Amino acid sequence: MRLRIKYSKTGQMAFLGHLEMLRLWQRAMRRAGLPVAMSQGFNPHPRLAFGPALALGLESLAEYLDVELAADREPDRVQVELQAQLPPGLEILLVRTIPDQAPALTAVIDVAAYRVTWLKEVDPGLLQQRVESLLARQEVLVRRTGRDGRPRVKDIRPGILKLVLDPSPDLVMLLQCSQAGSVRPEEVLKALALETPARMVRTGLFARRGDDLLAPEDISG
Amino acid sequence: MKLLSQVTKPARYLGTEWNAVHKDWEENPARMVFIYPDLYEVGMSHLGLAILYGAVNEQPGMLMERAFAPGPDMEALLRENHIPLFSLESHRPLADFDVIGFTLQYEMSYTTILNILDLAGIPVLATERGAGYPLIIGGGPGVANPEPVAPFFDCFLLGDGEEALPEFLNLVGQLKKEGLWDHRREVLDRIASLPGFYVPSFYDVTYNSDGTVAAVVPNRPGIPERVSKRVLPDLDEAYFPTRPIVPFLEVVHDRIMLEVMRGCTHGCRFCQAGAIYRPVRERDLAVLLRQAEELVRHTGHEEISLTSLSTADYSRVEELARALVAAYGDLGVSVSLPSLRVDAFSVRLADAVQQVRKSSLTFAPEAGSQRLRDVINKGVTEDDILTATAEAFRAGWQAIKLYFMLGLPTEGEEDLQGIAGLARRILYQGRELAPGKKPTVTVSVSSFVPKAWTAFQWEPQDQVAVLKEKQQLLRNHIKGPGLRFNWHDAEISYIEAVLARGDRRLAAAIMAAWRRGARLEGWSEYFSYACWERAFQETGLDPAFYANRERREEEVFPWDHLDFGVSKTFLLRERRRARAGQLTADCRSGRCTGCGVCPGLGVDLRLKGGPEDRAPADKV
Ligand code: SF4
Repeated sequence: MRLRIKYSKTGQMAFLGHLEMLRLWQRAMRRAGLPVAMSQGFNPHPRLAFGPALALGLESLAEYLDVELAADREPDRVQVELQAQLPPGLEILLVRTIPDQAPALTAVIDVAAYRVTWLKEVDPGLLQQRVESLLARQEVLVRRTGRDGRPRVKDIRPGILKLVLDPSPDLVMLLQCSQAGSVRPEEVLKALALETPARMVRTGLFARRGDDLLAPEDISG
Repeated sequence: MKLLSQVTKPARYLGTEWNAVHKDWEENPARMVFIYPDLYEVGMSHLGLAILYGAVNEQPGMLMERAFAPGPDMEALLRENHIPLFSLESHRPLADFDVIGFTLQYEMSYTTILNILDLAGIPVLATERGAGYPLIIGGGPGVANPEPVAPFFDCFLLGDGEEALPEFLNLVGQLKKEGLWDHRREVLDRIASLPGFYVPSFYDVTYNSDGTVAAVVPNRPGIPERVSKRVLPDLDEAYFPTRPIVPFLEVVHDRIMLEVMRGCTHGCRFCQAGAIYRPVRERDLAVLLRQAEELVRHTGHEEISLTSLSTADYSRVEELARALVAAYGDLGVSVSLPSLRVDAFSVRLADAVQQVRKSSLTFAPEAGSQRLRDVINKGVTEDDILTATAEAFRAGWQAIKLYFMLGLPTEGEEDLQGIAGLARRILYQGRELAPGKKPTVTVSVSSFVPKAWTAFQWEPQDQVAVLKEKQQLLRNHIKGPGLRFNWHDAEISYIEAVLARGDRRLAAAIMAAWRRGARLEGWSEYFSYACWERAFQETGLDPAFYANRERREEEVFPWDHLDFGVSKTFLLRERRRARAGQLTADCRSGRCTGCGVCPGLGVDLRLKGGPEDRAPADKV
């Protein structure tokens, strides 16, 4: 059976990278006695799959993890037993059964939401102005380092789906986040030319269906 | 938190790993921080830390937290912002603790110890630390000869710590309650009366005109002439942590460490661990299976490593390995054997537990000729080696690693040629036994470092130039498809040799090297020979006197006032037998070879026998 787990990753846990999270969840599941299915082959490994990577240092209120079990378990019980094996900062928000053939998280998720709260006071008027002028631009070029280590330039404007102050002066962003390409929230902040220190949190991951945003736990096909 | 976002691997400094213990500061008046003087990833792989952390924290009234050497980026931030180095659990400055304990695992960590004290705002010399500073204690194998670092420490613990350390912290709590803690002399007096605790400032060292030690004698009444190590007679009764900390980061040994036994009876003549951890004490099979069950349940680790100095020697190793594979294989937990003997039995064992096949199998013949292997009492023949490697190729391994030591006593050119020859024979064997595959043989050489408490403690180390020539010669002979050659920095081995048998005067050189920037020297990228050369010049100490000089048989050693059980007469006899190429049998077989440990410390070998009990001479 396949379970989809939604969890938050806050506080110190923001400092754990992808590999550390993988190890942590595997071990927590073994401690909780979950019968995780193993892959076949030479070097069997537990069948776990995460959603899109989160940058080191960012907190998140909506991370996802799929796990395949070798035997059936009641999702509610899994939530309680697994939660007992997790360090503070990782909180399971829901556990839901999904069909065995449901597409992988990374295949369905293509939008990420972020909320920025400012650590110093900002002028909401100025903020609004910056946001509007950014949205008015045809292209927003950023510098990135390619896989080969060479710098390249990318236009992130098409990936900026939404940028609003809600409630002002919090900045809410909807950014493209898919295998085809992602916009990093810190790139948007930089493009807004705001030096003010901020705390950024990922608040949601979604699949775009026309004009609707669906949560991964509600997708079954 | 602000610092954490600016450093690499912030998870090194969190302190909230699974099973980390956060005890109440006020309710536990005896407070100690345990420091492994290297990076987190190395320190968290140390079984001793897990044992002592558990043993202390299970006791009421005392607590133990952890600290490690910060990474260079974190060190820079701490210094820049004037933040003293802190413990992981409570993030308190190290100076807030009553006791700071360092484990001395290798000589190249000594400069890091000074750096950590300095980062904590604590004077490095014991004489400069008045009341109000923590007491600095050292333990671990380096205490076999702690003299080069003696001026930095208040006391040392010799031998097993799981009983001794709680005893010590009990005393600390008592002294604090009695209001005596600030009377340092009094405190040290009481500590020195605990068995196994050595207070270096209570001993005076005098020197001969040739620079050798004349005598080390107590300078106070009531202080023992010799301090004996602590030994747990029965490991089944000893504390063992079944809730060890599970790191977030990948560490060097990221797995369950199931300690199957302590000590080793093979008696390799260069091996310090084999001498100072005697006698052999095996754990009962039932105890180990119970511990394994608890460890899997409490950690969730994916691998169980059967640890000891020579795991294939454990009387019931096969039974244990098979039982663990059967019990946990389905859960995705594998079993591994870190230290293999060079024999076919060990290979079959490794095969049976399905040690990750894609990696290589490592053997340590140590020397390239039979003559030299007999000199070091390795107890394996070329036949053993070839049978073992053949077994490995047949079982599907394609990469073999071989460890050797350069510069062993009596070594000549034939011995070096022997290393290259053996590597080639193993490679040809692999090509024959695994046709169509591409076997590789990797030869890794380190340099012989004469250590205290070994039969070779009288021997000189080769000059650095000679070691380099030998490395060059091997490099020329070990090349071609399928052959690889690795070597250790000869200069690091040289400094190790200086410190391993050094006396108290060397403390000045360690300080000078640290002042010049030496730290984290276990990592060759941070090691700087130039630091040490300048340090020796500045202090007027001659490193060759310590490393390259053959000691006279009657010479007094800087560690002669310490007692690890093995007698000097035995070691001298072993040295003579080495020169004569005579082997000394393993005392496991029942014939005591008179090393002195058992009668001297009132203990005994604890072997657990069992149906598969095999004599050590039996190579299967
Ligand atoms: S005293 Fe004898 S039996 Fe005991 S460890 Fe030494 S050699 Fe072995």
